[in-house]
Amino acid sequence: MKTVTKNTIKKYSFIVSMMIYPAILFFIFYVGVNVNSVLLAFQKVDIAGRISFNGLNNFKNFFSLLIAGDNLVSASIFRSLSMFAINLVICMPLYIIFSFYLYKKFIFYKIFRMIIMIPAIVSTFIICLLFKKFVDLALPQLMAQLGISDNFPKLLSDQRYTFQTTLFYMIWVSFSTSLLVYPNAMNAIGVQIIESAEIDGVNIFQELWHIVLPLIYPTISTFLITGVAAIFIQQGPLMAFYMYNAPPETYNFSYYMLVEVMTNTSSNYLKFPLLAAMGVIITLISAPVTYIVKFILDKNDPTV
Amino acid sequence: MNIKNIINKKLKKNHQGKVRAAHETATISFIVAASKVLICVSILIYCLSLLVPLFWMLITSLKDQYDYATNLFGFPTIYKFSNYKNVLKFLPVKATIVGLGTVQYSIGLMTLNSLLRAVFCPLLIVMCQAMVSYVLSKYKFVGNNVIYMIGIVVMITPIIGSLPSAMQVAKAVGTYDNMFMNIITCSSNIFGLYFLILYGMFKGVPWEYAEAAFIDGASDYTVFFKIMLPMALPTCAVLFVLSFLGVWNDYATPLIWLPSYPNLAYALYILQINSSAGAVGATTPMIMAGFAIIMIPTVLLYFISQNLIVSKLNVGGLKG
Repeated sequence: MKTVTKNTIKKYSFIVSMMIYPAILFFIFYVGVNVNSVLLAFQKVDIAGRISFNGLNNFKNFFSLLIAGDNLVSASIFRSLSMFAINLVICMPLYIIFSFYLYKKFIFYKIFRMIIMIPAIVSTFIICLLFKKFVDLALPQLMAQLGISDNFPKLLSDQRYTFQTTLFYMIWVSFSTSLLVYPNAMNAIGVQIIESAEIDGVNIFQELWHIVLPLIYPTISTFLITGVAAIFIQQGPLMAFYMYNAPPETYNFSYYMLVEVMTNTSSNYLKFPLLAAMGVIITLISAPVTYIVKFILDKNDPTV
Repeated sequence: MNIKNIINKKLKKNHQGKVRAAHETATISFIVAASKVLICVSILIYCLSLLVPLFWMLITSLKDQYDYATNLFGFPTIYKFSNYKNVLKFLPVKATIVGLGTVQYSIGLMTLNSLLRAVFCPLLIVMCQAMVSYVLSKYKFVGNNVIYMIGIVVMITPIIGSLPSAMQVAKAVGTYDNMFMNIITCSSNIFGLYFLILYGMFKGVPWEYAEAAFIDGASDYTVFFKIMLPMALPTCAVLFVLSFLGVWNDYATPLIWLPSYPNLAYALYILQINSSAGAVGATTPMIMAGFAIIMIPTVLLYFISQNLIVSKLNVGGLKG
């Protein structure tokens, strides 16, 4: 009995010692920050930095902004949603098709795999700055030299094209992580499953649709759920392209928040409660959506 | 006669069936081959689109400004390797610090800042996540499932707009603009992709190794540090490398959270932003040389660990 108790104490002290430090950090920087964010949403800060209770006024102010047609807020929210939709419709199928190509080890797969990793190796930061230089400086000249257009616009400076160009950029660099994870998930499929399917005469489309996709469903589902969760967190390349001076036509919700917090630093703390209220409202909308998506995906999991 | 006809008809039908089947097989084979070519060409175009700007960066980094302006895509007429030296003159960052006035940060100091965060943050992040995921995946205790569920909830619950609050908390606990505090608290987000990967990895390691060690008198710490962690080392190494790549190129943290500790990525970012605004004299070829310089460590690290990275990164489901 004594040994059991001693062993239990030893086991629990080991568990506590392993988890205590990460737990403290988690409580301060996750729980603390988020609780403070909720409290902040109900507060008012005056010019002297004094904090007072403000009831639901911050929430009312946020809705007033939306109703009054504050295009920057509503358009930022809309752009965040459209970024996700485009990612889902265009990128997801391409990730899977390209990953399947690499998984099947078709021609040049090794060299393709290496090149596709470039944004992850070189860093999206460098790629981003390089893309900006290329698009705004080199591309107009290239178009002129090729005789396509003498007045080809600077796509990241001309406000008519900035949002589309940033979207294109996001799609363009997004392949590296997905093309690392999906082929690995596909490689985890048992060889005998594929071999017996090949003996039964399935072609590669059938193999992809009926065998590979159902078996990598948990990975697809994880990417989808985290993608939905990140709709309003995803900032895109705006900060790398423009720092805090992006054209309003490109704003998404996360970038809007960043700019509001980081600019006008002498008095921006006055806006913190309103921004926190915005965050609380958007969280209250997007969190249930994420859980509904998770529920639907779990319900339809073919691997269960 | 009748029987002969019937046999002939059957043979004909059989033959037609075989021909149709062969035809179908040929069609499918053609579609499969055409799809392979189409996908191959698409990936090829994509790969070229990634390589062209990089190649353009490298040849531009060796030109002088006149050559760059007049010969945008050609090879340099004179190779100007001095761009790689000259860009370093423009990298030092000036910042105004309360109480100290305007301070200029040397390249050495910024490199040190880059290295400090790029080495120690990934180490702490991977270590903390390995400890938590090991305990949760291998030990049964009261609250284990609850903590795992909290992890999943944290991972998929989008908390939006907490930046103002995070700024307040960082200033209150002293992590704002403090390199040491920033490093020791960088692993605050314990539930993320790395947690999922390590949890799945530890879950797959047979517990018999630990049991054998316990019989031999090993403690829980010995089992973790001498048996389990070495087994997880390849995965941990991959996560370390990926994290290193991220932190080395992180310009946003110095910009938002560590304004008195600029790193190389931040210096290059500011140089690029300022040069776009026409504020400093660094030429585009020099900036391209700067891009090439900052890429060197990450490219080297990737090539050293390439095989590990492409084989060890597996993400499972989010079932709670």
